[in-house]
Amino acid sequence: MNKVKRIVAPLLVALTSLSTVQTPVPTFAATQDFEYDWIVDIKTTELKDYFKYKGAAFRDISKARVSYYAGRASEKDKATPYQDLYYGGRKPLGLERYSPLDKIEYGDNVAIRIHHESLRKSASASDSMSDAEAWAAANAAMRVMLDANLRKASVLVVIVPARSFRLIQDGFGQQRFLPVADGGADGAGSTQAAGAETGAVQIRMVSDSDALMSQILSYQ
Amino acid sequence: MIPSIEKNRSRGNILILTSLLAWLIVIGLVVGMSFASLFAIQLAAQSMANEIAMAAAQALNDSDREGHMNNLISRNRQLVFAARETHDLAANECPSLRLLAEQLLEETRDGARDLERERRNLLEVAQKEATINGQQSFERLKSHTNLNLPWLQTGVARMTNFSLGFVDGVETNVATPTGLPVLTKFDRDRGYARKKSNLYRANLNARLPGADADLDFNLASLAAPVKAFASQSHLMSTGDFKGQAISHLPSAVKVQLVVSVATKIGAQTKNAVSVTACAAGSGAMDDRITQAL
Repeated sequence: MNKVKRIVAPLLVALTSLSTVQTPVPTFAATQDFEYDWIVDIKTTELKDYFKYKGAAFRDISKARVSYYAGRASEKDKATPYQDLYYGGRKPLGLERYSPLDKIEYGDNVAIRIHHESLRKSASASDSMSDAEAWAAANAAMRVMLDANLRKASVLVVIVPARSFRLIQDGFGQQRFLPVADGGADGAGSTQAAGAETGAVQIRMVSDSDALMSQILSYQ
Repeated sequence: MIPSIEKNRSRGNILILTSLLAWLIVIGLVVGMSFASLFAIQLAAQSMANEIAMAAAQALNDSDREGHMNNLISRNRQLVFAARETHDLAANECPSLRLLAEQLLEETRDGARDLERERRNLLEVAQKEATINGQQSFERLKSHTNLNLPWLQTGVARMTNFSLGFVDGVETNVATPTGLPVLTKFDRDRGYARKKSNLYRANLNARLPGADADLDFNLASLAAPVKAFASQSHLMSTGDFKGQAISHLPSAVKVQLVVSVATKIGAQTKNAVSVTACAAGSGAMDDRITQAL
């Protein structure tokens, strides 16, 4: 009886531990990455009290860190830093370029992914972007899109966090990118391709977690 | 009889000599004490000037605001340069993107003007706060030199000079850009930056070439961090202080105090003791560290 116990007990323990191990389920955002040649990552942060003196016009600064990595191979760990952009009071204030965007070549498909990072230690999942940060994220995406398009690459989509979708859309709106069609429609095409068809520059904005949340914005 | 007269004469001489010696000793003591007091007063005045200069200097780069401003001005310059490059490329090669590129360039140029306005605001704030700090320290300490002794009288200290400037030989805390080789070459050709350190030269208006030459990018002298450590406020030699025009952010302070000295012993004389102190404000911090805080 003891012999049986000695054999069965470790087996039971092993089985129990196996059942509790969670196998990683690819998120909607992660699966999206494989559709594109390149993912350009825009990570926004708010630098609180960057200028700390009485009457400072730019007290808080929004920073957008831009890096890019190959999407198909999902080489997120091998991201190439491209540039940091700095904003204050809805004005672009600075850029620090690290390397050229030269890995992206003619005809490549590019997705821009925007996300927010909080520097506060108590940051929670609900800690979302501020208005100024959303404006900065939209502006950074516009600049990256322009750089990619000038390299004859196609920016197919701008992927944004679902909880900041409206804020970022407003940010684009304030910079003359206005909604033109109902979201969710397939085949919206790239900014450049859409521009060629309609004579306008367009952005297709989609949510990172809700496939139904999407919007086409056109430069007016 | 004669020996007695001789004896009295020698006694009189000793009396005269003793009184003379006593007077000499008294005068020597007074002179010695006067010099000692003068020395003590000068030391007190110097220590006061040092404290005033340090109090003022500490206000200059409070919370690394000048370091942040220099960094942001350099980044702003890069942004204008890159936006102009993108605009010109779009205009030549992709007319459908020209309008968007133009919009981004214009708002970038607007941002540069706003930042220059803010730099002037910071200049005013830094000058004002340093002056107030210096003035408050002076008001608190000025009576420390007031002394009224029978042989020496010293007055309340007067601040005859309070000026802001920078430390000779200290360039800016900002290095030339690494990701924009054309701009780096331009800066090198223009002699904007030091060859060894790649740091921009002190108190420089690093104007851009071409159509953006109308914009100002004023970079002030400020000690760069060494291995991520910022230099702290410190007293410095007066010979290293350089006064400057009010257009650049200051990073050092010079204070001059004068204390009146008088004596009523013998002929009434009046004079003044003058002391000068210089202090440098804290240097810039490593921006990567301050951003992570």
